[in-house]
Amino acid sequence: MRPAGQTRSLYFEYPEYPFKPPPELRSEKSRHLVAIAGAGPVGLTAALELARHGVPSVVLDDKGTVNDGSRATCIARHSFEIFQQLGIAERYTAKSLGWTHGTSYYRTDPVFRLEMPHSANERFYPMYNLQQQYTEKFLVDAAHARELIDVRWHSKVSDVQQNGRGVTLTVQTPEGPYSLQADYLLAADGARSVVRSALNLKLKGDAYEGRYVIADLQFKSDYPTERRAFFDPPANPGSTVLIHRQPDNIWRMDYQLRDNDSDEDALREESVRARVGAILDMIGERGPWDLEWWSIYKAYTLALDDYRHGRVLFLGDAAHLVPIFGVRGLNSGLADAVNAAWKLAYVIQGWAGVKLLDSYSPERRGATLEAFANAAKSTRFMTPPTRGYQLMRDAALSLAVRHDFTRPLVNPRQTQPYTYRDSPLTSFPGRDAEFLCGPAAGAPLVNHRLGEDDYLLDHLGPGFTGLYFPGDDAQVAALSAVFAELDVGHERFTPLIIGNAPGRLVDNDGSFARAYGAGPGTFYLVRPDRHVCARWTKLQPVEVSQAFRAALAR
Amino acid sequence: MSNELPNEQFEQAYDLIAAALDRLGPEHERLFLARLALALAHRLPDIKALEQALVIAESDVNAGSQMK
Repeated sequence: MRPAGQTRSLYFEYPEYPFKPPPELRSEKSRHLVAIAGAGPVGLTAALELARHGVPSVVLDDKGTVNDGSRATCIARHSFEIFQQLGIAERYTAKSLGWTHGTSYYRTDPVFRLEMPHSANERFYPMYNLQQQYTEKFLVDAAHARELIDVRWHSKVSDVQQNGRGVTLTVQTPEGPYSLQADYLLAADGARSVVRSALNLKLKGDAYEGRYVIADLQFKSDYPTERRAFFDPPANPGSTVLIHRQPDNIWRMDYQLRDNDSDEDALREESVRARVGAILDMIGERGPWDLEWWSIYKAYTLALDDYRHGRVLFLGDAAHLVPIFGVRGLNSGLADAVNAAWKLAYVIQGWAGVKLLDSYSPERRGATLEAFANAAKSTRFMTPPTRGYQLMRDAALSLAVRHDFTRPLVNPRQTQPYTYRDSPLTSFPGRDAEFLCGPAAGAPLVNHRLGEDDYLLDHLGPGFTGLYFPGDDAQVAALSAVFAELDVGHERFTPLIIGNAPGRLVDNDGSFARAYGAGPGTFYLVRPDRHVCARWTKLQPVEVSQAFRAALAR
Repeated sequence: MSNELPNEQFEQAYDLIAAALDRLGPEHERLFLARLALALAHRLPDIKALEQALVIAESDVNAGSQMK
C-alpha cells in the first residue's frame, strides 16, 4: 500500500513492459521446450540458467511490471554467487548494500551481536540489502537481452493440463486466450500459485502466531548497514521490531502487531505513521521522513510433499513458504531455480538421464525442511506463540543483558546454503572424514580469493569443473584421459589445476589449498551449480568416473 | 563454569521448560518454577553452584519485572 495521493514511488521508476501478441494468437502452431509460470526473481533465474546451458524458454506473467515494495530485501552471499554464474553480479554489487553484522536489543539494552561468517578471502559479503523491485528489474533486463528467453507480460496462466508427452497451459491475454504447449513447466508463480491449484496440490505445514507490518521509509541517516532487532522496545511494547538500511535512503521496518490490533486498523496510513514515528524517535532518527510503501505479513512453514509432479517442477514460494526472519524465502527460491534449471537443461540436451529430475525434489525439499527447523526456532523466539514461550523468551533476553550463556538463543539463524549430502548425485561422502576442512561432498564451493579481483568462481566453466592440487607435473599429464571423459555435450569439462605454472590457478600464499584441506593429489569434482559431487585427498580415477555418472543419473 | 550443557541441549531445555509451562497453565506457573529450581538445585554438586546461579538470576531482574 502507498500513502493517499501518492501513486508513484519516491525513488523507483516502475517499468512498463508491454504485451506483445505471441504466434499462438495468430493460430500458429508452436511447441516450447520449457514454459515458466512467473517472471519474478525465481522464474527469471530459472530462465537465465536454462539459457546458460543453451535451452530456450518462454516465461509467462500476468503483470506488466515488477513487484511493488522492498519485500525480500536480504540477499545472501550464495545468491550473489548465483548471479555471478549468470554473469549479472556487477549490477547487484553496484546497487546493493553489503553487511556483516547485526545487533539485537532487549528493551533498550544490547543483548546479542550477530557476526555473519566472513573473511577477506570472500568476494561477496554474507548478506546484501536490496529492494526486491531492483532484484527483479536486473533479472528482467538480463532476460530481455537473451534471445533464448521469451518473456510474455500481461499473460496469465489460468489452467494447466499434463500428460506423459507434455504440458498444455491456458493463457489469458488482453487480446484473448490461447493454448501453449511445452515439454516441461517450471511453476514459479508464487505463494498463490495457479499451477499448484490447477494440479489440485496443497501446501502442508504450520502457521505461526504473530503478524508484522513491513514498511519502507525514506530518510537520511549515517547509521551503518546492519540488522537491528528490538525485542519489547519502548516504542512497540510487547512486540518485536526489525530495521534494515536499503539503497536510496530507504529504510525497511518490520514491526509486530499486538493481538488486539486488527489487520484493517494496522494497515491504515495513520496507524503506520504513528508506529513508525514512535520507532524512529526511539532510535534517535528525528529528521524528516517520508512513507513509501507498506504491507502485512504472517509467518508460515508450508511446503508441497513433492516439488515435482510429472513434467511440472515447483520452485520458490509456489513450492514452499518460510518465515521471513531467516531470510530464506527469495534465497532458497533462487537455489531452487538453479537446481531445477541445470538438471532440466541437461535432460533436454540429452546429456543426462531423465532420472536426473528425480533428484530435484529431495535436494531442494531437504533444504526446505532444514529451513523449517531453523525458522520454527527463530520464529518462536521473535514471536512467542504461548505464555510459556513468552516467559522463557523474556527470561533468556533479560539474562542476555549481562550473561553470555543465553545469547545463542537470540541468534536469528540466518540462511546458510544447504549441503546435498544425502542426494543420489553426491558420491563418497565417507571420504569427507579424510579432510580436515574445505567444502564437503554436496556442499557449494567456497569462493576463495586467488588474487586482486580474482576468485575461484570466476574460473568455473558452464559444465562440470574439477579442482586439482597436483603433486607434480607427471601426475597432471597422466590425468588428461580421466578429464577427457568429463565433457558433457558441448559443455567441456573445466579442469582447474592449482599451481605456479602458466595456465594454472595461482595460489601464492597456499591459503586456497589450506582452505580446501588439500595436499598433493587432492581433487574436487564440482557440478554445474557449484556443489561438490565428491572429493578425494588423492584422486581415484575409477571413483571420479563413478561420481560423474552418478551426478548425471546415468 | 565447567560441565555446561552443549548449546543444542540448552536449546532443548528452553523448549522443554516452555512446553511444561504451557501444559500446566498460568495458575501453576509460580509453584512449578520454584519446584523446578529445587529439583535442579538438588542435582548440583555443591551449594556454591547454586549461589552462583542465584547471583545470575537476581541480576537485572528489574529488566524483566514487567513480564506478563
